[in-house]
Formats: sequence, C-alpha cells, structure tokens
Amino acid sequence: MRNDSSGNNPRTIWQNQPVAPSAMTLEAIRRKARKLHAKTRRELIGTIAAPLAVIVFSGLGAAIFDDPRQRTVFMLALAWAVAGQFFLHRGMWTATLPGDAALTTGLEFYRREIERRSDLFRRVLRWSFGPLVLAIGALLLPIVTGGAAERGAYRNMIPFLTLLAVWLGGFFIVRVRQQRQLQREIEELNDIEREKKR
Amino acid sequence: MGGTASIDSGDTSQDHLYRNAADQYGSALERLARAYESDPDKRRDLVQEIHFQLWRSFQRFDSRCSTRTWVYRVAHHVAASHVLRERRTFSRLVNLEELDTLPDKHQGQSAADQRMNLERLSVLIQQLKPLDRQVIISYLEDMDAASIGEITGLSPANVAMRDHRIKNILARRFHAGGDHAQ
Repeated sequence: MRNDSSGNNPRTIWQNQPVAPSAMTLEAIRRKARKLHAKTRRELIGTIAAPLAVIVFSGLGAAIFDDPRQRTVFMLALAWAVAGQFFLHRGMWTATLPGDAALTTGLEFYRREIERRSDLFRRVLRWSFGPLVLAIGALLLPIVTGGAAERGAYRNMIPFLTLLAVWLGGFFIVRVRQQRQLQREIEELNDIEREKKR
Repeated sequence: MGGTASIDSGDTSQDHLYRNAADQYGSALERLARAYESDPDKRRDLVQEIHFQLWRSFQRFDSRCSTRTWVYRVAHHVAASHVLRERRTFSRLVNLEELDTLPDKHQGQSAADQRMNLERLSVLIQQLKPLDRQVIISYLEDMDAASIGEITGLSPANVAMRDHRIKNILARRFHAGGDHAQ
C-alpha cells in the first residue's frame, strides 16, 4: 500500500481509527433481546392507534347518525379498518432480521428490504389511509346529498375540514414521492442484476 | 420473535462462534457502524444491534461461506436496514458516480490531521447508498474483489468498476490515497 506513513492514505486512515471494545456479554444480549421484545410491542401499538381511531369514529358514526346511507358508509369504513388490521400487519417492519439473512448477499437483502418497504406503503394506503378517507367521506355525505339546512350545519366545520384536507393531501403527496424514490431504487437494482446475468 | 427463545437455553456452539467472531471482527464492526451512522449514540445502538443479530444468526451458521463473509453480510444487512428506517427517503443518498460530482466541503483545509481526515472519509461514505457503501467499506478493509463480490452479490465486473471509481474518488479527495498501485 502506498503512503502508509503519510497518514493521508484512506485505507490507513480508516483502519487506524480509534475504536472501543464492543463485544457483548451474553447477559447484555439477553437484555437486548428483552428490549427488542418491548420495542416490537411498542411499534405494534403505535401502528394500531390510527386504525383504532377510525374504528371507534366509524362505530360511533354508525350508531349516532340516522341517515341509512351515511350509516352504511360508516359500517363499510369500520369493516375496512378491521380487515386492514389483519392485512396491514402481515410482514410489517420488525426489529429483527430474518433468520436466513446471512445466507443472502447484500444486493438480494437490500432489494428485498426496499420491496418490503414499497409493499408496506401500498398496504398502508389501502388498509389504513383508505378507511380513514371513507370515514371522513361518511361524515361529509350530508353536505353532498342533503339540503341547505344540512349544509348550514356543516359550515362551522370548514376550518377543521380545511386543515384535514391539507393534512390528507400532504400525507398522500409525501408518500407518493417516497414510493417513486423506492421504485427508482428497485429499477437501479434490477439493472445491476441484469448486468450480472449477462 | 424467532431466535430469542433459545437465549436462556445457552447454546454453547452459537455462543462460541459469536465470541470468536466478536474477538476477531469487533473493531471492523465498529468501523462499519461509523460508515452507516454519524450520531455517536445511535452508532452505539447500531453496534449493539449488529452484535445481537450476529449472535442470533450463528444459530444457523452452516459453514456454507467463510465466517468473515457471514459476519460482514449480517453487519451490512443490519446497517442497511438501519439506514432505510432512519432516512425514510433516498433523496439525499447518492451512488458512486454522483458522489464523484459532489463538491468536497473540506477541500482546501489541511489534510494533515488524522482525525479530520477520518471525519472527511466518514462523511464521504455516509452520503452513499447502502450497496456502494458496502463496496467502499470492503475496499477500505483491504478485501479483494472476490470477497467483495461474495458479500455484496455483485458480479466481478461490477465490483471492478466500482473499485476503480472508489480509487479515483479517494485519490482526488485525499490527493495521495487511492492505492492505485494495487
């Protein structure tokens, strides 16, 4: 290797960096495993919160409102959110690697992780965002189908509805942008794999 | 959660494999974590996570590949997942080709200070996408093209091309390194 003594060689710089001893004792590994269990539980509770709010909101809506069309839409949103709990959490981000991870190369693993993330986005959109939009639609149904009296009653909600629309739009735009970036990344990895097969 | 159930059963073979790997590659894993995480606290967590997943992975170690390849694969996988979770977006990460066109923020400063050079190098690596990061870390750890290919899954030609780019970038940024002689 050239210029080892100059202190300017990247390999020398990299390999000579000061590091602290880092091996974990088995006791530390046990502690880490317990922390990981707790983290997975917390993450799961976090992902349940939003759909749970939709379920409660739709249930209340179906019970309170008299309009049969409105009640039907609330019931649909409720059923959608409940079904979403099952589909959304299949293969969700977990705090651990798959057991066979070390058998896969960096390229395969990276690609799998990106596809998983991309798939998760689609599922969030379908099973979490969808029921939320439908539940809000059910609440706003009388504005579209009702008379002037109903529209008047909803006038006070305009600031809230405006904020809600901005949040929903923002959420959607950010997520779609992220999805495009993931797609580009997948295409780049596809090119590398094609090149490898040639 | 798979894998953690056997923690209390004390699988000695798994423990033995882990201890050997930690002794042999502990420092390399620390360096690898630096390439993926700049925040010292998060880096400490990442190192612990790598060690934990490494210990866990040895339940399935079947000598299909060398211990070194196994250790680096697990470490890179954990670190790449960390990047994906933390960054949430790829917009700020670049590949080697794009990195070559980015300005060096430290250009013009004295390169004599070892710590500053390490900082420059770390910043450079942390801008890269995970796959290119794997290649540059392996290169800096003195691995040959075959080993890099085994860890990353890239073809020999692809590794050679990336290796060449890395050498050029490093030579330009550090004026002396690059190791063209190899």
